[in-house]
Amino acid sequence: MTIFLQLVASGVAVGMIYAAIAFGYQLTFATSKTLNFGQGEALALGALFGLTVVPFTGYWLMIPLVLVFGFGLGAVVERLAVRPAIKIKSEYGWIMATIALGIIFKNVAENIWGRDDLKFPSPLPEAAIELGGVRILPMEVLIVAGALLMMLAVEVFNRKSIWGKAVIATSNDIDAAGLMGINTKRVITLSYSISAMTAAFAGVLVAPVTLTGATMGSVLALKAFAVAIIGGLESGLGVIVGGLILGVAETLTGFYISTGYKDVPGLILLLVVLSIRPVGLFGKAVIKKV
Amino acid sequence: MANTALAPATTPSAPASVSRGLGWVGGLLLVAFLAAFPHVITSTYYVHLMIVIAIYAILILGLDIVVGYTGQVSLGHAGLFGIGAYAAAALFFHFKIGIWLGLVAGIGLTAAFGAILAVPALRVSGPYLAMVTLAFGTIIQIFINELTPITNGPLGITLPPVRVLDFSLLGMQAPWGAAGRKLEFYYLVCACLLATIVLVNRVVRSPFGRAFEALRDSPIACDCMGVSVYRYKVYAFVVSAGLAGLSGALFAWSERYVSPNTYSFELTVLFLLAVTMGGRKSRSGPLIGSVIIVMMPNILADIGLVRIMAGIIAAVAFVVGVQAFLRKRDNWFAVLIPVALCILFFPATMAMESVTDYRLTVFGLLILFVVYYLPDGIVGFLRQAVPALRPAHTAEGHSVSAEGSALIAQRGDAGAQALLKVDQALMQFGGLKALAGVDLTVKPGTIHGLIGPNGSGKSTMMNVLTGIYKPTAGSVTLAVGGGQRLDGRTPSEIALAGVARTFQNVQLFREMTALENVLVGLHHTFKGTLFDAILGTPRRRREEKEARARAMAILDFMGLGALAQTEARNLPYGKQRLLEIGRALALDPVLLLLDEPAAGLTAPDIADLVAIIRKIRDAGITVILIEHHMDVVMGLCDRVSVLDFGHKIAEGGAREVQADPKVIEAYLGAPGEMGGTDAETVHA
Amino acid sequence: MLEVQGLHAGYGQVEVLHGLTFQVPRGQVVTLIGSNGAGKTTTMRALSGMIRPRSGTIRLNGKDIAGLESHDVAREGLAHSPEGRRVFPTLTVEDNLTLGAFPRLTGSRPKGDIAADRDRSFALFPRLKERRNQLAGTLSGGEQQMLAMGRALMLRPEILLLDEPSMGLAPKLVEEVFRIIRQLKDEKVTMLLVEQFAMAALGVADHGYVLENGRIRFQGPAAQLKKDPAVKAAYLGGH
Repeated sequence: MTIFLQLVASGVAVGMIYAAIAFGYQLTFATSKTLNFGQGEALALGALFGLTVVPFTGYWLMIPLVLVFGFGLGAVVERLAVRPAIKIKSEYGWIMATIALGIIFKNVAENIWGRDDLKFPSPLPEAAIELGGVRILPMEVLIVAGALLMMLAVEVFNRKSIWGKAVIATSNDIDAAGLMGINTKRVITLSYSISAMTAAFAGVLVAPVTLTGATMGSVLALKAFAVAIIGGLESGLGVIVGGLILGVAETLTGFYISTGYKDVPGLILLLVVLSIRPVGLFGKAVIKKV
Repeated sequence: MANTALAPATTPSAPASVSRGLGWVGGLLLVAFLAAFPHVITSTYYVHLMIVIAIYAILILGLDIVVGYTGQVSLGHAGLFGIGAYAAAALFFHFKIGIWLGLVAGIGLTAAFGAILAVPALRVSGPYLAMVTLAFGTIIQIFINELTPITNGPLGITLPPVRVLDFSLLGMQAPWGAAGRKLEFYYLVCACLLATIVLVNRVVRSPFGRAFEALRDSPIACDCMGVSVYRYKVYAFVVSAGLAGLSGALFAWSERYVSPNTYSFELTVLFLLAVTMGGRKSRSGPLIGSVIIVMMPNILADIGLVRIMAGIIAAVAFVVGVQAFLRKRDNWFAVLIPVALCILFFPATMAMESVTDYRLTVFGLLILFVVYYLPDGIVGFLRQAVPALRPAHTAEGHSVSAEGSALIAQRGDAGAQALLKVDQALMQFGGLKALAGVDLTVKPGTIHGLIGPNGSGKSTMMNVLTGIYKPTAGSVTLAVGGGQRLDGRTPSEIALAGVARTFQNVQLFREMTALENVLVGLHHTFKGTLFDAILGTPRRRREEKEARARAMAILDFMGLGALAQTEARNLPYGKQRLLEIGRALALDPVLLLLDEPAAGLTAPDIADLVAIIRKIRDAGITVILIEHHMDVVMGLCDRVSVLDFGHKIAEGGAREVQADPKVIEAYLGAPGEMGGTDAETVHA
Repeated sequence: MLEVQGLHAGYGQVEVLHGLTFQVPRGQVVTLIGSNGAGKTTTMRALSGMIRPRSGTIRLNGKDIAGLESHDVAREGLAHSPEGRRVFPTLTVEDNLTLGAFPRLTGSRPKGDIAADRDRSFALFPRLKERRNQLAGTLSGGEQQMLAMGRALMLRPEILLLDEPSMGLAPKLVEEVFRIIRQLKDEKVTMLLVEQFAMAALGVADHGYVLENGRIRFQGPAAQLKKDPAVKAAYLGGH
């Protein structure tokens, strides 16, 4: 039983990372019905950028810099890969273009930071805390708190600020938002910026407990998509539930079957959910109109 | 309906004879080139490179079926490629089975996986499908890594030199010497490539290929033509996967080594780049694409060559940039970034010692370039520039003279009783009752009008009748073959039962010609299997000939005979509306549902339309007409039903309904109570 | 105030409006009526930049706004309450109203007293006040219509476009909507009204234009049109 609880506790942290990335997918999908297939690379670049500045700034000052970096990165992705495709209404266009940018980012990162995985210094003691027989790393607590805080901050921004409300309005009804005088193109750029910012921050959070490198984000991002699907791509905090389910499922698989298969449940879940209930477990069916 | 400005003006394709001839010439040149290549260039390195190009080309030709013809994004083809490779390699590893059975196993196993991959593709498309196929590819890679007993895990499997023909079984020496024996595998690969080209050619020109294109352009219309979107997506994925398996098995024997990391995400993206850059929906495009992706790493390895190319690109970009700047000032910023990138690329290559490490960056930039500046690929670009290269839309049917309405088959039980009976149809969306229990009886041989204000439930009724919506309650019965229930059946079943429809917002197969559009409607007349299509059997040829003759007759009936070879998207709007009706007639319907056929038409077009609807009724087909142009409704309809808020509020002859106070109130509202001063009304 | 000259517009290949010319004088209510598919909503969409006109001019206070994107049109002071209401379902009633004043809040129109305008909307639509913290998606159809109108008014528009405000509403609510339109008219709000219910629209308007197949068939003072049998014919055919 203790082992089981231990596995659940470890799964929660990685689950929150999935939730944070999935949350980023939701943001852009809501405003523009597009998403960044290079989200994993945004995460990796965030972590690598953080790793580079952390010797100069220390851990805590590094975080705002990474947020700014992610914010800018998202805007670049939107302007280069998404906006032109939206303009010519090409779904294939933005899928391929965001993939292409992702590959470029990954390749450039490999050339700058090398192909080997790097160690990210942990800001907290590495010794585990024992809680009722369950060992928890302080970094895991930081991951959970950080990811929740990030999502909460974005939610507060969306609910309270006028530009945040413009983001929600654009997500609800892009034409009506335009009629309100909202420049919806700018809102879409903003949503990409926030989305990449979330991913970059998730990268910094997860880096100390995994290894840091150009390829660290690819599979994370794919599994986060599974979480976004389970939680519903349209909106909602279903991603937290989805992230937790997947995180725990993975640690259980890793322990009881083989660590080599720990990515499989997420991917199978993605296949199964999309084959059976494409709108996700929490999404609602849309009536197709002819 | 977007960017019509981009669509070329009506551009007739090349005369069929010229274009077909070009196809044959190209094919013969390819055969001659492949046959001669190893004798002219004897370097084993280049022969091996040619083998890899051919192997990739097989996969890319197959990928084109999914990407180009059905319009789905697959990021799973590297996984399928890996399955094929491992099927062949593992057979040897465990059982010492050679290449021939390896190829069969590769094709068979991969095709089976293709069918599995098609399952999610039935439910989702676009980004969802991209992610699903990506997940599929990743799972395959994980399993290859982990299923060590079968795949030998991360170590991979090493194969011996391939033995294609075993003459010792016949107790004889090879008729050609040692040098010839080395080329056996080369010629096997070439034979596979040529066979693939023939196979893909035949499939895409068959009813199967038309179904693939139809489901890409309008899945909903595809279903309503009796062509099951589900079934044909599976076919497309299976054929495509089978070719990926063939390609993979050949690849295993050509490299003589398989390992899990080969079949990665990057490889999948390379395949997609090849198909897009070469040009979708063609045979030459994938060949060109394959050459590019195989040769590119070799070119990049030579820094001198890269610098020269970068210099040329920079110069061209500079000229293009200046031109753009001079021509349209408001848009020059959009061109600025790519132009600047292209120019900066040159000094970058001068500064670098080697660009090999930036191979993937170059591929990424190529993808961006292709997506935005060459969306139709090299072949598409050439076809745009040189009309003679455009594909021949085989015009066999053209010589057949039309026999008019006689060619529209008639079914259905003539008689005075109801052809269609709707009983208490209820359609509920959440709390909203779009149809609140509507009865409708349509007599055979009549034109029955269905009118009402916006949101009254007319379109909902149309969708209930054709199976796009399943009614919450109530029944729909069609008096054909002793009466059959339609409610609860799929659109494609209802279409085959004899109910055809058109759509409020025209749903043609836009990238197909007028003739091909009608041929999709005639899909139900084809009984041939996929093997008939691949082998080109007499049955297949006979069916095609008959269908084309009928399709031409239908086009002539609609007055579209001269436009048979024009792509639907290039037809004038009024003709598109007529073509949609023609396509529906190809189903041999007993009942034809027209959803606002006059919307957006000019007055002369409307007159044509009215005449044709009458002709259709006179040919014995019952028509239900939804229309806002009251003059059309009043002029045509034998009987009119009026809906309002999901209820039927009136029914009767046209004049009768027009005078009904309830109808007037539904349309105009109750006369208001506010008066006003008298003044002159100005009649325009 | 609003002068439209030779307006052509449509979707894709289809031209729906074949050259409309009409005016809305300051402080007046003008209505466009006609059957389904006549081009009423297309006209509204072209005016507010939701679709790009193919040719023609649209002058708002003398400035040509044809071809501007909808957010720029809103900044010029044209408020459009669209067909089907289109409120933001996952935002509260109050946030919906706030967004109506977006150009004022982000500095592209004079700010003025936004809170006071919100109170004015609440005074006009008391039911919205009761539900100010409720999500707009949970409102009834009639309440959503009031919210859409209130939201459009938050711009302090030069001209208010109302597209089918009575669509899908029960008769009692239709009356309520028209009562409010009349009240706005008394406050000298310039309005262009598109209505399915021609009689009610003519009852409140100063001037009417009857559209048929994308052309203005005839026009005249509203009171006069109301009695004209040709109006009925435009809807139900037979002229």
